[in-house]
Amino acid sequence: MLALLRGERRYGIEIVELLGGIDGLATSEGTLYPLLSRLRRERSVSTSWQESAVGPPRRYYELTASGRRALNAFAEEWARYRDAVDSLLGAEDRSTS
Amino acid sequence: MTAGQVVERYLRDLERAARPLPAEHARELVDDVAEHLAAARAADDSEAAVRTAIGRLGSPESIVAAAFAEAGIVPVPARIGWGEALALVGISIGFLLFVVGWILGLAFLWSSQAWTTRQKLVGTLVPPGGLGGFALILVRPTLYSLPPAAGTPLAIGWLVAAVASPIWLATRVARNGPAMRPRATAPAER
Repeated sequence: MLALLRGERRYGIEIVELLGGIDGLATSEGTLYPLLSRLRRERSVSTSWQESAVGPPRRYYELTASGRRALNAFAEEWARYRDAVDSLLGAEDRSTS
Repeated sequence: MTAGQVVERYLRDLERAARPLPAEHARELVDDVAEHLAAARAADDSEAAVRTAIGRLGSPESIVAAAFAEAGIVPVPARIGWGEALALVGISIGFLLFVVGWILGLAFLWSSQAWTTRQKLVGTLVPPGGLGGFALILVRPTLYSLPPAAGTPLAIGWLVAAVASPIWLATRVARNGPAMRPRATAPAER
């Protein structure tokens, strides 16, 4: 979720629709709101209301400095984890072939 | 049913499902989902579109379950356990047991998660000493230095309060719904 906000700020419904639509992250859109709420509480994201051309005002989400740090830390950890799994799977491939 | 009615019913169900959550979390959750649906309706206000949007959100129960996981708490089912039973017995008749029983009852009352602080205050003060206080009025009417005429109504009021207050507290347990306790593990980072 933080990664979605890396490049730009987005509004709530846009975030949950993007995440809900990603293959492999099988999740209903509604269950993402508690996560968004926790990120707000942790101040990993900041919000601002903005008028919309169509419909009600929208709340935009933006990464904060601490959110960016959390994202970078997670990205590093994830890369390590992925490499570890890849090397294990690679070893398996070689032994079976 | 109109789109508005569909949304209204869904939000009402969500509100009901979210009741066991801490109040602030529940309000934020309902606000977020209401905002989501308002934005969806701004794009397409047909009943079919709104139903699709709700289908993608998922059931209120699943959303509230996710909220529990994020908040790092699990609900403890609301029931009258040993602690609650001892609390009710203690505050009603404990005073007769050399006062200690009443104080023990208060300890159980205040350490239980089944009641709110306000309800615990009622249990403590209405009436102080429970039935023991009533017995004191009977035995020593002059103790409270009241005019004799005030003695009888006071005694009756005391008796009613001493019986009604524990019964009322017992009925609150189920009404209060599940209590919360912190979950052992921290929520996963995402």
